[in-house]
Amino acid sequence: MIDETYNPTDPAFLASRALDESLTIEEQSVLDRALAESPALRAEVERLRRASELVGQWAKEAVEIDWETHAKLIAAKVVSDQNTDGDDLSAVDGLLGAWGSQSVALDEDAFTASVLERIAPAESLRPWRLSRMIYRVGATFAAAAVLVLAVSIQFWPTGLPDVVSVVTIGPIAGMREDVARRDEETPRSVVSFSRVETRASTSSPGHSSFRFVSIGVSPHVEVAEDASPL
Amino acid sequence: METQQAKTDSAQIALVTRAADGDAEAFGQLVRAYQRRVVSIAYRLLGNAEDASDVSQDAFVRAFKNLDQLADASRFGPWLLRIVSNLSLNYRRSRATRAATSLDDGVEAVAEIRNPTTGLKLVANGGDGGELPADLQAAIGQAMEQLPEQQRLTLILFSVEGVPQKEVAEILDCTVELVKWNVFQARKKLKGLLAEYV
Repeated sequence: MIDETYNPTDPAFLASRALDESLTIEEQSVLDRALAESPALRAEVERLRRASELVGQWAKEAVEIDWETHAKLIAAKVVSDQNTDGDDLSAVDGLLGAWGSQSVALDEDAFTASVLERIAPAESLRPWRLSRMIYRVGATFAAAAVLVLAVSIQFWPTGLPDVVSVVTIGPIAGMREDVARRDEETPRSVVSFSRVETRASTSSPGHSSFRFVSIGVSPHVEVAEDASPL
Repeated sequence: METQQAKTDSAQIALVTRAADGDAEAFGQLVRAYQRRVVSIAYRLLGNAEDASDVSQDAFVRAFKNLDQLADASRFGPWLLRIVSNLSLNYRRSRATRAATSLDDGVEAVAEIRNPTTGLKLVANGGDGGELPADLQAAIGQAMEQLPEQQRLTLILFSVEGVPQKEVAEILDCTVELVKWNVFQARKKLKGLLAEYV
């Protein structure tokens, strides 16, 4: 059973760090004392070392990558798209080291060329991706604004005169005066609608409804004098 | 007096800056500088050279696309290794999901889950000595596969690839002490998983 609770003074942890030569002099002294006193710990360290050594030997398998063939396949696809669109302890390190020495042979020029071919179209897409992101964010805000205003107007207290609400998406314009002043110069998305009141009669109760006037981008926003503070 | 390392660092920063401005040739030089390590990490995490090639190229492409998000040009290396590590781990998860689905359905999953595939062909060669018997080679590979993700990645970056502990911590967004602890835990688990051989 492996105890995974962090314990910086665990002698086995110190032994592992000794493989990495990252012990301080004091920590090395603690480990040396523990090893001297505990045959079980010495056996444990030996198994750690051996396990690490095995991994190192495993890593000696060499792999050669046929990058030239790879680059040709990439190039063919691009064309197709265009047409269509310590002594004992050191042995533990040896295990990992041997595994890590596994070499990967590659045709560096071919690899680089294939990467560069792939980033070329990506580079040209950058402005388009930015526009798409702005559009998506704007559309989401516009939809949310429509929903909020639609709900608000339905629950607005009766007896109010017709209401015109204006929602701007863009620079913060909390004051109507700001909106009126800046609407000449800053295009913005507008969601506006009016509330329609009907009087109650003897045959039917009064009710309210709303109708959309416009949703979209407008360089001008007209704010009615009797606009709701919504 | 400027050291050789400082010159190298400043040259790389210049390359990263130019690449961030869209200079593909500058990025090409970065690819040449890092491709061996990137491919090697992907291969050790995926255990499959064809997948490693696809993922490593994806890593470079993503790095190029997102260079504007790199706050410190001098940290391009760890940032790139973080990208390839994350992509490799994500690909492993996708592959595992695909395999599970295949078993559930009783159908062999042969479709590519990534697009486009780069079609890398790999040839395994004998190493320069120290080769293991086939059964032991397989056992070690399986033992590595059984390590928890973070421990395996830490062990590969630090003990196999020789990335300094501080840099591993940066790549994994953790403390140096946690790097040491994960290496220790990985070694302990390997010792248990390979008990027959140790």
